[in-house]
Amino acid sequence: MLMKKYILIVMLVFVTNLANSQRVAVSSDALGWLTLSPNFGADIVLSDRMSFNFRMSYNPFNTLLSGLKLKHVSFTPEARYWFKRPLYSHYLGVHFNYTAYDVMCSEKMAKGMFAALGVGYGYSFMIAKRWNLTPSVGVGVGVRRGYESSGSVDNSLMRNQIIPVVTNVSLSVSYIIN
Amino acid sequence: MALKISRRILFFGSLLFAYIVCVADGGSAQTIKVQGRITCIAEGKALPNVFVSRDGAVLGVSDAEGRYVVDVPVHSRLLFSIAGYDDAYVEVGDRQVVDLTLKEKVVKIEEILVTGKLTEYKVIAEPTDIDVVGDYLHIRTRFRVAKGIFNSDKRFVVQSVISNKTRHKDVLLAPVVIDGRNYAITQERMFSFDKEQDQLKDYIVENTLDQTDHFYPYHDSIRVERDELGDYYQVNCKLAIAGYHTGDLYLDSVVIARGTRNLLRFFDFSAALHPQALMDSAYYPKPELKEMEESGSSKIAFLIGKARIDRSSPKNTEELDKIVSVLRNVQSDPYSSLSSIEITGYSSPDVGLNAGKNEILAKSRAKMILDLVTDNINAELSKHIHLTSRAVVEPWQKVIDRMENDHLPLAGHVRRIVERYPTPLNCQWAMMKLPEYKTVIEPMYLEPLRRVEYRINYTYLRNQTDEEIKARFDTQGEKLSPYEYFRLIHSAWEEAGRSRFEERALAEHPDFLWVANLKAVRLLEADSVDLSVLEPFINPQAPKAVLYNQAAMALMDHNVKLADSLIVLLKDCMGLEKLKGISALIRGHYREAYSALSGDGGINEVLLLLCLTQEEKAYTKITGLLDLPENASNARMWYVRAICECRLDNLVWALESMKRAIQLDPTLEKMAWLDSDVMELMEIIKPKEE
Repeated sequence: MLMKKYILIVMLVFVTNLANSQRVAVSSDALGWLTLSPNFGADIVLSDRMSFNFRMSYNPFNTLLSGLKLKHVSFTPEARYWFKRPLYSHYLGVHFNYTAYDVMCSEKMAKGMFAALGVGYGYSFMIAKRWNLTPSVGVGVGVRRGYESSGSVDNSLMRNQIIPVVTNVSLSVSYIIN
Repeated sequence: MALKISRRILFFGSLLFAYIVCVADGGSAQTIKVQGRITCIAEGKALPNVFVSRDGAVLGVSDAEGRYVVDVPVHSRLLFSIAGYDDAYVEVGDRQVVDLTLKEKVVKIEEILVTGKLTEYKVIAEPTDIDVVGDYLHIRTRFRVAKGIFNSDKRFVVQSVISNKTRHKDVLLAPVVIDGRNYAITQERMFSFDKEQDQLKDYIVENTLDQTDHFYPYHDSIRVERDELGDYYQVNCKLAIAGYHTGDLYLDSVVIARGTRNLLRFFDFSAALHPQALMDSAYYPKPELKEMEESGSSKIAFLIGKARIDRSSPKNTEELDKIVSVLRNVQSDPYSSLSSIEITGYSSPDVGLNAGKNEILAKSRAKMILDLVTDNINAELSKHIHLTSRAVVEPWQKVIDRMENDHLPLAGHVRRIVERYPTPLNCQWAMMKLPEYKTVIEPMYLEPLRRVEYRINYTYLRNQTDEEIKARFDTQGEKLSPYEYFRLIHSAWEEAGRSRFEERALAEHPDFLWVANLKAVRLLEADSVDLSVLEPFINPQAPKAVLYNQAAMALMDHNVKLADSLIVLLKDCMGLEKLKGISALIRGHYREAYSALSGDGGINEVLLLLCLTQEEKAYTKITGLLDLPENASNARMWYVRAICECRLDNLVWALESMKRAIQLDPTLEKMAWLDSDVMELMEIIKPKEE
């Protein structure tokens, strides 16, 4: 009980400090929503040039449309370097991406996971004092492991296949909390 | 319960009453809310940042749409002002909506053209004048940022610097900081952002970045020492542009003002200020009284052995008259006053029939005379005078001394008798046995000893002549009394050397108000200032003349704060309006000053008209003044006329006037080189060699 209280206080202090001294933004990717994948992200400004971004996406649906399935869960932590000011204008990022997927498109289907390291680029447009619109892309190299089948071909296991991947294509809208 | 309810009713009732009283009171204050919209006459565009002021106090500023709201008393007179436009005065009356249009001033505009790496920025600063108001230099201008040239990612800083070129001193004026929209917003997203840390935070004007030109009115002032007012000043505007991480980057600068505009230096204080001498005799020093003594002796014949005056003797009457006349003289002299009277009765050493009672007799005789004196002086006065009487029996020794003085051989006999018979009675018998007793001793030596002496102490005014006082003044080291200085100064009223007396009088008598005021008047008449002269005498009870003179000096010293505090003390007095007028003038409230001071006419009226930018009226006046034969060779008037002509763009005439002025008074040339009004003329008259 005492422990709980203590943790609560520490968290409160941490959050207030965060709110006072840093800029924190929450964001969501519009393209993700087009795929009916609920997703959300957060930005924490770390310095006058750097910020930390974390986003995750989750699609639980077994059938999106007939013959289309985009079931996945994905996490992407990213370090961003801003060229002008934090959360404004150009940035370059380095990120890690982990995705577990189970997708199907007409005949083709794939299931598995991959972990990738990538670089991202984006540009934050300031649409209002607290609102940003940020298109961004990311590419990287990933390790894939899973099953893949195409039409009549049976599921076959692939092992640690290293492939180039597009880690991120997004158009996110973010709100700067503080 | 009923009591509780009635208490409540009482409580709320009184609250309601208080409320009604408050509301009624608010209504009687007669302030109204005046609002309206200000537009530019040429384009009909809204004018933001227009100052709305009343009696010199800024009440409000118009917003981006040119709208303003101010609370003012009814029938107020509002001034609408913004750099670059003509001032507009509006009588509000009881109107609540006052819309107006302002007319743009015709000004030459210099551009600061800044070429950055990729973009060209244009910020326009209007050339202006450095106005001298009191001890302050005022700079009024406006910056225009043309539409479309403003990059939202930049911070523009226009830093004006006023440079004293004579002393090579620079003073930074308040900067104008124009933050681009994105710059301003993203600054808050910086990790280390703290608005308090931004040194320029007080000067930031937000830019809304719409598609219109932006005007930023600018007004700042600095205080300078009085002796620096005549220096040559320049105002430089430096434009710096800051990017997100590049820091301030100095880009360009332009001179927007040269020289100062100081019309007040021609102001004739002596025409408006009339130093006041202390005319009330209550402040004159009192002649001080010197203590004097007069003593005399009178021989009054008393009836033998009795304390009664022998009225039949004519000599007695004479002697008594002598005492009385001394008393009467002292009393009738206005400069003298009695302080004490002392009567001494003397009796001779011979005992006679009243053996052993001589002393008592002498005493009662003295008392007798004292009564006589008391009868002859004012009864009221006698209470304050010290009256004493005493009796003395003269010893035989005195008789012997007198005899020896006369080389009388008898002295030896008498001495021997006195030594032989110590008791007075025996001595007396022995004396009487001497054959010379009846013939010599008694009439020649004893008789004169029987007398009454009086001593009358009284004070009187020492009646010295002015020359005597002057002689004492010239003797170094001798102090004179305030009254003596008063006489000295009066005798030397017209002389130039009068100040010598005043200086020493003040040195010896620091609390001598009359002289201090006199010195102040002399200084004022000579157009010089020394506030320390009257300073020790300033208090709410001080004579009005003193307060007036000190206020006048404070004004000549541009010390408006001191002057205003004295003006408050003066309440009503001759010339008070003029004092207030000059105070307003120094503070830069020219309209107020004009109504108080224009009545004097002369050069002052012309200067006031110029201050109010009524150049044409001023020109007519000064031309009228110069037509008078007594003013034809007044260099300053020609100079002021040159200013009028210059401002009216009548350069040919202005050149003539200026040449005339310098011809009449070559010292004006130096002044003209520093005067932004006529600097151009000087450059034509005498092109600088450099």
